[in-house]
Amino acid sequence: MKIQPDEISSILKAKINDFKFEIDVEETGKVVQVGDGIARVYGMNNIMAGEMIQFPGNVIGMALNLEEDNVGCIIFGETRKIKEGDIVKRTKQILQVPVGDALLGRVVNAMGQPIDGKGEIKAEKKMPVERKALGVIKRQPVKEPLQTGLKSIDSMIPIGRGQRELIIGDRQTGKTAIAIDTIINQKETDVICIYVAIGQKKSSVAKIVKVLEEHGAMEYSIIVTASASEPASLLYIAPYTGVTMGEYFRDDGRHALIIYDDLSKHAISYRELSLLLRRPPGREAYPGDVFYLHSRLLERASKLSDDLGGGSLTALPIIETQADDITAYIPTNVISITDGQMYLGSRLFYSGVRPAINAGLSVSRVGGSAQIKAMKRVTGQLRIDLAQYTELEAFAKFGAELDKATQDQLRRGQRLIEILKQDQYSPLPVAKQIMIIFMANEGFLDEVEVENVMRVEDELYSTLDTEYKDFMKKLVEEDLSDKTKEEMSNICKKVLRKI
Amino acid sequence: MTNKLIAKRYSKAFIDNLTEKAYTSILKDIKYLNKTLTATPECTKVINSFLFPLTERMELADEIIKNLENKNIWNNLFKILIQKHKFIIISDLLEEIEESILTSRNQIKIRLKIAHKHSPENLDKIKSFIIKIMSMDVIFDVIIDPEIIGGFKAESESFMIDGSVKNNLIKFKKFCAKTY
Repeated sequence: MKIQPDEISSILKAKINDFKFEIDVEETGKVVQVGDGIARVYGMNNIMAGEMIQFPGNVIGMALNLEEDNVGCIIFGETRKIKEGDIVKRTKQILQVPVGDALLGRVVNAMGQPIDGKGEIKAEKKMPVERKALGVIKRQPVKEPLQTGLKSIDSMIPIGRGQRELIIGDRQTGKTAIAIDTIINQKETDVICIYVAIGQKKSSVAKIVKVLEEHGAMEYSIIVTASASEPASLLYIAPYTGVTMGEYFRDDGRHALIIYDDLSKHAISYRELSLLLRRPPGREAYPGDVFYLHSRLLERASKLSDDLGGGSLTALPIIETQADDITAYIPTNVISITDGQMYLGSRLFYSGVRPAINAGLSVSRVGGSAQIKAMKRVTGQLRIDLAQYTELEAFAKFGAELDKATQDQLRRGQRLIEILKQDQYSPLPVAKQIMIIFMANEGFLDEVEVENVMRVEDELYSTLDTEYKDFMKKLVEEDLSDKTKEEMSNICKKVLRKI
Repeated sequence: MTNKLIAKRYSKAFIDNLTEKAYTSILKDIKYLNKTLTATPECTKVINSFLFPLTERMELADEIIKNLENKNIWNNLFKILIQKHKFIIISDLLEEIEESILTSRNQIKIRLKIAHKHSPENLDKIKSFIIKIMSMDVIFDVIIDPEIIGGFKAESESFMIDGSVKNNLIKFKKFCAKTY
């Protein structure tokens, strides 16, 4: 292409004509001290708490500590560019991030800037990261289910749209796997997913992006990442960035799901910042407001009233425990904030029960009202049978010496455990979940050897897919009548005959 | 820069011990002290140095303040600063005391930078524009700084009014880069 000098000069002339000579009136301060991701600024007497501050070299900061003679700020960028004596400017704005549909399918950093190399994000608008959670009048109770596609969760710990359900467990127990499966399961639904990676390895985030892309889940997902190598300030702000993006969809009358992976690292980053800002340390050196840190974040998940469009924002925070201790400071805080928790046990995980959900310690406080009727009917007995099995499990080794009733309970429990096992990245439609749980509950699997349960399960699914498509639809939409139950029993018998 | 924070704390204590009547004379003293300490910068270093005996340093401080109107007040302050090995903050402290007195009188000191010498009418126009924005009495300290190319730049501790050609050229560069 040949460059035309006339064209360039005419463009420049037009630019000069469009440009307006302006006088900037700004409130300024001077950097007194800088380092470790924080700065102390002298001056700026009228600054607001949480206000953005412009540092030299296009670095943004946020005022956190308003002290008598200085302002303590966190810096969202490289502190190397800032030196003592530098002039900083007030922006008179609370930190804002881009929101909207343009973010779907993108990977962004904690400031909402793209990091996936797919170009600029042309967002419709920006919203402040710190917003007050909605009041009581604007909300309504959870009433629609959010299917995770995992049998053990959808049956025993159901999640409703607008609920906050904690995923808690030790390292390597499959917490992230549950979150990713839940995202993948939203493919055929209208739920937009936001995954916030806090303090994770960049390679782990890249792996998650790849998995989501392979399953076609990136189209309706946004990934917000503040990796382990980034400053604590970015780790601190990342979940708020994610929830702001989710709130946009909720306020628009749509449904969104947000996963915070994980809030333990978020609390640690906040502890780091607080100690650097010389806030008084409390229990485990966390600052006094660490509860408020998470409660104000999780309170923003909600189900809007019908007058406001009925949108919802469901939150699945993740907490990593140390040595299965759920009574530590941060786990107990988040347990008390959320509407239930799914506890993943490392012993269960290593004994081959995956997802390793501990039914006894897991609970969903509000999700039950959102569960579909058919599922509610079939799972009524499930938790009780499982609890009884766990009680009797220790006696299993006595085998034939036990009475028949105990042996029956053990047999049922073993098969229930078996059917609740599920592979990663293979979420199951709710109708199939109902059928397999019904099959186990009604004792159809009692005579099947434990090692053959998987075979029966596979056969059931393929039979349903090939012969009972309409029946599956009916199962989801309607309550369980006697007639439906009879038909379900017939399907079970048919499958067993095939085996 | 941490001296600035210490100076602010000292200035608060200093102002608390003054009556409003003394403000004018204190401002005069500050002007004198600034002039002296700027003319002989080694004085501050010597007074703050452990290499010299305390009595000699005290004597040197007495020499500096002997012509001041509020000799006793300054004497006490200088003694405290020397004993606490904090005399190094003296210029920041004087600046802070001056600013506190001016603020209490709804006044502000502003460094007005212009690229070249202006006619008195033009300078008055700039000054009245700044006074209008600040909505308080302004004490100007006019400095000629060719680096700003043209226009003006007014700076105080917590405000900056930038109408310089340099700033607008930077903005124009960003404006062009944004579109293309």
